[in-house]
Amino acid sequence: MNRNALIALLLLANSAFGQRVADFTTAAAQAKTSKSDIVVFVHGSDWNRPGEVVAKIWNDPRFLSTVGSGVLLVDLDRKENPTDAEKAALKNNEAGNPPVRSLPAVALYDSEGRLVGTVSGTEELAAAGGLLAATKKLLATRRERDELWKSADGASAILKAGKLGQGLDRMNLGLGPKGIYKPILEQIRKADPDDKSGYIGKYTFSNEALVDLALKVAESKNYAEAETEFAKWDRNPRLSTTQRQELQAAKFALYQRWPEKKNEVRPVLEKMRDIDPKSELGQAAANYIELLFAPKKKKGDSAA
Amino acid sequence: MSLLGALEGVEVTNEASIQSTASTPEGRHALAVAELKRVADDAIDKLSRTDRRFVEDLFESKERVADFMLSGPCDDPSKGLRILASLWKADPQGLTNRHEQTTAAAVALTFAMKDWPEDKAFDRYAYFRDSRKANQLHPSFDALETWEKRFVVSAGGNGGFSDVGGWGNDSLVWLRDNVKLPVSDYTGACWQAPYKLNNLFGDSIHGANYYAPFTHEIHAKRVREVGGVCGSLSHYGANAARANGIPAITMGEPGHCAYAVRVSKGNWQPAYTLSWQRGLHTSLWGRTWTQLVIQEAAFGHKAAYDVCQAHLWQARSLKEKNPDLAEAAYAAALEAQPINVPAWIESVEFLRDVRKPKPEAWSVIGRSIATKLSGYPESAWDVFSRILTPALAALADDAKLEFLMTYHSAISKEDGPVMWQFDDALEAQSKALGGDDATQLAFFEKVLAIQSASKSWFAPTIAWGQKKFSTAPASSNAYFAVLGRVFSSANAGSNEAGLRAALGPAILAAEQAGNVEAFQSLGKAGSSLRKPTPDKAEPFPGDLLSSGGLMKASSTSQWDHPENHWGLLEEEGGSFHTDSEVRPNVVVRLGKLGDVSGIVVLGSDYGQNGARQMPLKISISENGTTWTEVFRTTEQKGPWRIPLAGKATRVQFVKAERDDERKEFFHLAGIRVYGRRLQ
Repeated sequence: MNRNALIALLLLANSAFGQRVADFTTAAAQAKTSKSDIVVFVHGSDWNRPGEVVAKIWNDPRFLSTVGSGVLLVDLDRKENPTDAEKAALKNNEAGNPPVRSLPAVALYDSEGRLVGTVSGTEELAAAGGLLAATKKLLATRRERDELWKSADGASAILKAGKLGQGLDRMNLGLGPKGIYKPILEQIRKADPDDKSGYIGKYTFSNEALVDLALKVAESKNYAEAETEFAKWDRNPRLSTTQRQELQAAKFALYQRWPEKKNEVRPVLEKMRDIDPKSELGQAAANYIELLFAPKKKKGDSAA
Repeated sequence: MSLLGALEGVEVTNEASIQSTASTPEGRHALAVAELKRVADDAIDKLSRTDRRFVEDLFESKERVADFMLSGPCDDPSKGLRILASLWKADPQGLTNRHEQTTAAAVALTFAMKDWPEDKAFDRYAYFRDSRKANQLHPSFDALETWEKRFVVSAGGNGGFSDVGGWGNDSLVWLRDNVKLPVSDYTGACWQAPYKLNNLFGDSIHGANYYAPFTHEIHAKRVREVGGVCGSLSHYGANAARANGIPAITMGEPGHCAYAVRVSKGNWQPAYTLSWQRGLHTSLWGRTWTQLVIQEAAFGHKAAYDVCQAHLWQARSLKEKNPDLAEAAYAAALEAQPINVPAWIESVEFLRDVRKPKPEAWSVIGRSIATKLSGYPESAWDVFSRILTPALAALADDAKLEFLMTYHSAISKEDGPVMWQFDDALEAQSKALGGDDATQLAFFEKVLAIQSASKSWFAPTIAWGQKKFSTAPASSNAYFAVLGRVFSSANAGSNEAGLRAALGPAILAAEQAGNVEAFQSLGKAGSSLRKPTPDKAEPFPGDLLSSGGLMKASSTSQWDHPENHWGLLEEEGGSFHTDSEVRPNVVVRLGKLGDVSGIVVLGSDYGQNGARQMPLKISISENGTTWTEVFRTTEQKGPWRIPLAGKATRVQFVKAERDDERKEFFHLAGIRVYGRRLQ
């Protein structure tokens, strides 16, 4: 057996059990060969005190064995006062520094170095059941995604587009940071150019664009143009709950400015609310109904 | 030593006792107590018996008195004492801890400000006490002194108190638990919230309904989810830092709200900033960026600050009964800490209003201000301006210009911490000087002669002179004659040549100093020298973000016409021409921070000299230091259109460069950047 083959075997053997790797650059190179997932734990050991408990779990030898085989673990320590050596090491971690809002955080990258998901901050980690459960959930997401994408390989047209889209849905990342999953959208376009699956719409949907359209047509009084566009989106079965609510909000923006359609204002808010009354946007719609349509208190009415 | 003993020892009867009482901790303690009694005695008498006992107890503690009296000014000492007493009453056990004592003092001093509600002070104190004890704050909070904590506990809106429902304690809790980052990362935290002029219902941020449907959410959370514009985003970033125990402030800029985070001791880092014209919403003194930098330097030498403050207390107590000794105390204060701006202001106002110096004394005072504060030209002017009118009134006509020039000579070699409204200072000096056009022009000529060597003050001097003298025909010729003399122009007296001779170096100086306002003002002033040659090129959607910005080339040359630089960023077209060099480049600072839809680059020669620009590389940056390449070509026929929709969501700088090792010239005719404004 030649030397290279021996190294490859060793890598394979290591990846079968998972291993801790010095930095993301090394992990990314190794993951490509061994098809491993990369779990990155981001914390700050010299300042992030709420992260200390989570770091203990991360550093426990049992963590690696519990998350399963074929996983590379990278510790990304965002110290306030790193040594020169630690600063140099951070450079090797730049590509694996996920866009997170709060530390500690855990992120999963696939073997191609694409971000699969993050759980950031103690509150999100607690809601996910802790670091271990959050990591396992991310790994499961990646596996489910890849299963769907694998089944897309053998499919064509709308079926292929559907499987690819469901894979994106699993991650709930849109097209990912810096559009890393745009190539998947391109595959969907190729398989289903007429967007019968609705996934092209889902992954190009922009609430801002729809609101801008409503405001623009209101200026030119060309309201019907927006209504036609909104109706097209209404027919898309793939829109998420939030997207459907945002679509109603854009309609609200249009009808508020369309004198002949003022009577549609309340129904679209009610529809937005009823799509998911407990959601943030459902509550916002309910609040707006209250704001606009609650009977005004007369002078002298006592406060409840 | 007992308090009574200390108070006896504080008696200042001669110059020697000025030094001896202020130089020891015991002496400063006694002086602090005496000062506090002087300013709040009536209020102390009106306190309840329990609160009076608290005050008596407070007076016995050197550390606690120092917390209250040596941590920056207190707007209303009586209110501050009441608040401090109420905090001690509410948490006597907790306030045995030194960390909590400094937090309580910072809260008392903050809530003693106008419009800060006394009855909400305890909640703010309790937030930081409990968060600290639960290890929820950044550990650097534990090392903060009282004056530093004032930049933390003052979390709120535009420097004012904000209650639950706004940037109140509920938002602080949410930010603490959901935005926990290394300190320097808070300068980018504002971008966790999306920039949106209209919410998802189409309601504008400028109307009442933008956040109204989201009353069920904590304000910080709804800003992150609904979005906002500069004000909301900057408050999100600053309050996220403060909620985690890190000093931060918000600040107004023209048409914009920015913020700053203190990333380490002595180091404030501006964030989401678009201009040097910053009005601090929170400050221990003054409202400009220079004031923030200088107060940080003053408090950073806490021992000197404390001695300086003790001398000020002496001076205040002596002002009425012994002005001679009071003057000596003020002098001692300034000697202890020559960069203490409030000490300077108080001292010169005392001299001006009480001592009424003789003409020759004004010259000494003016020179002293300018020399001691020369490292901070804006602060030097702040103090100098307070003696301007009486000094000029007292001085003989032939000494007035010399008096003003003491200021200019002192600062000409200093750049200061940041650009400031130097043109306003010139205007104030000119007004105070008075006289006819000839006097005014003589003033301008003297200033220009001094500042022509200054990297920072030359461009704004020219810009001010241009605005003041070049419009009226009578003064215009004389103005160009001045320029001619100062620049030794062979064409002195000819308007166009004089203007060109003045504008060229001034524009280059504005570019070197990064002074957008001077660049714009001088660029527009040079319009008569330009022949607009707008090259047609299809624009990208959105506003012309480059318009109103600034360009800076890596070098100039005899073929460069700086008066054409301004047009490079505009539809009317312009040009620049570097010297022959390796890797020549031009950096454009956009007029507006933006989400870029595309860039159009125009060449000034696509023919024989077109190869000079090849390979042409275009990069973008948010901060001017970290660059991302977005375009590269060796095709020398332009214009080059670079679509960037969705790929350049936050851009303030664009760089064009030749990316090889040849030594060669580099020139372009336009860099037009289009997109959606983010301010």
